[in-house]
Amino acid sequence: MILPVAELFEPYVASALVRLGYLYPGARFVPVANGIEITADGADHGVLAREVQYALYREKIYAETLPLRQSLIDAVTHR
Amino acid sequence: MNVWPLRFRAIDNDRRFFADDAGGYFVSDEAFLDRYARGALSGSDQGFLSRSGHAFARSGDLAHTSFAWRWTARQSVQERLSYVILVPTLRCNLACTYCQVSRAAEGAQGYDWSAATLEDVLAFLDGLDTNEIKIEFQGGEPLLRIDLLDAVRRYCRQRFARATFVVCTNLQRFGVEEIAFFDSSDTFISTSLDGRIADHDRRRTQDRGQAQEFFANLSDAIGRFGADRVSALPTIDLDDPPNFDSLIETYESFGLKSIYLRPINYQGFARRRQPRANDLARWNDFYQRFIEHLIRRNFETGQVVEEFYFSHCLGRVLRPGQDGHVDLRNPNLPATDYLVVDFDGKLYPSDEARMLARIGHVDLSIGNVRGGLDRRKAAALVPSAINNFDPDCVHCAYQPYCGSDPIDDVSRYGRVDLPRADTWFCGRHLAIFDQVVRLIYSHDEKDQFSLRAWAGLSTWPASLAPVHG
Repeated sequence: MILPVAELFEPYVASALVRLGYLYPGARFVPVANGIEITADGADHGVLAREVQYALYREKIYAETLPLRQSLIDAVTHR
Repeated sequence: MNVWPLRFRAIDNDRRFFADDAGGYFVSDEAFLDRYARGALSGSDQGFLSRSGHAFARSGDLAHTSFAWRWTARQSVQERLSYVILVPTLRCNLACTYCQVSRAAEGAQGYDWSAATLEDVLAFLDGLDTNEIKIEFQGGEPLLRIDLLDAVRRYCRQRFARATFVVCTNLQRFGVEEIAFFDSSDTFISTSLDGRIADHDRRRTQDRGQAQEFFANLSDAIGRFGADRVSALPTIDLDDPPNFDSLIETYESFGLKSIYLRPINYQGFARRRQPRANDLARWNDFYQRFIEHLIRRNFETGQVVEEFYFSHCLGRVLRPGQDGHVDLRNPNLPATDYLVVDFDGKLYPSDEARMLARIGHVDLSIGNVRGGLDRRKAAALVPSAINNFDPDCVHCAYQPYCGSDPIDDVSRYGRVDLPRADTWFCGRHLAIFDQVVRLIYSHDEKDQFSLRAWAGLSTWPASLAPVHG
């Protein structure tokens, strides 16, 4: 199946696929023109699609909030 | 408005659990998650996040500063060495099938501290920069060298303003000398109790007479010193698990209200029994069913028994600063506030590290009592002792409540850089925190009865189970 990826999540596809690759070694996740192609024998593709979506969410949240985390640590360590 | 990073986890088909880095949490739905991830929060979302401490307007405002305080309180600070595990002898008068420490036979030579080692240990303790000390005597069976225990205790009492002592003993010996040693309010007993006499016999003593002797000694110890000064825990063999009720009843019969279920640790002699591929799933299933059983039983009897580790994990979700248990905290920097001195004077960052060295798996010793701590070697374990920016933990909603255990990773997998999700530590704690969260959000009065008691609360306010949307 192919999971469509909204444009605002496209910058996070590469990092999400790295993580998905080791979390689900029995599945294949391949970036294609209009999304991510998911291949997995005997797996619930609906569940996997949700995990791919969540991986994209997580990578976007992580990247966008990293400056907040850095500023927090700076604040509590008086840097 | 700035929203602090939120991590999320599905707790069922409809509900998503969200937590920030300071441990603040709430439950919402998939629609909120989608709005949050897309940067399309509604006014209602923003209002909730702001009111609930998950957001701030500008750096340095009250919301920002209070979040920084809560985040800091979630980090375990280990300032000075004040908890030392001492192994005065490796000899033991039992030969339990799943002994975790590769103990030596009772009559063996060369497995006790020498007089010189005792002197070195006392000098090492003297050099500690603390006025308070907790000494835990491990073994082997430490009571085989009660003279060494007494020498350490006498020294610590005069050296430190406050000193407490825990003797981890099989309580097979409990005569005049042992009773006199324990007859002191600063000295505590920790022992193993695997269930009824027949269970304890089968798993530990393999001698009904010895098992009966232990039960009599435990009863005597509690009768003399009270249940507050005696703790016990069972080691659970998944191939021969105890009946839940008989295990709980046995503990209750001694007045013990806290049970700490511990799986066999595949170290020491126990390594001869190979773990199975599905041990983690079996353990999680066993553990979850035990907690559910306890909840039903507590409600029916009105008497509360806890599983220590579950209560501890619950406490770590509900409040910061629950860092007293060294197996679960973050960071968990090696050899900072506690370490182990083995029978030969070598120093280890934990008891498990000592076991790994004993079986020749890997030498994780970090110095010795004479030469002192090898800080360079101890520092090698530091990167794995912090979970905040682990590539998996950084996405995990339970990170603020969890920890890390690089020694366990080395023991099981020979390395510390596995994906967290593939480790026993992660799989075990995900399951525990999933169950904690389900119970926190349960409206079942049976669940709330135990939860209140385990958390030390008289009521279970709705504020402990915040929901948005």
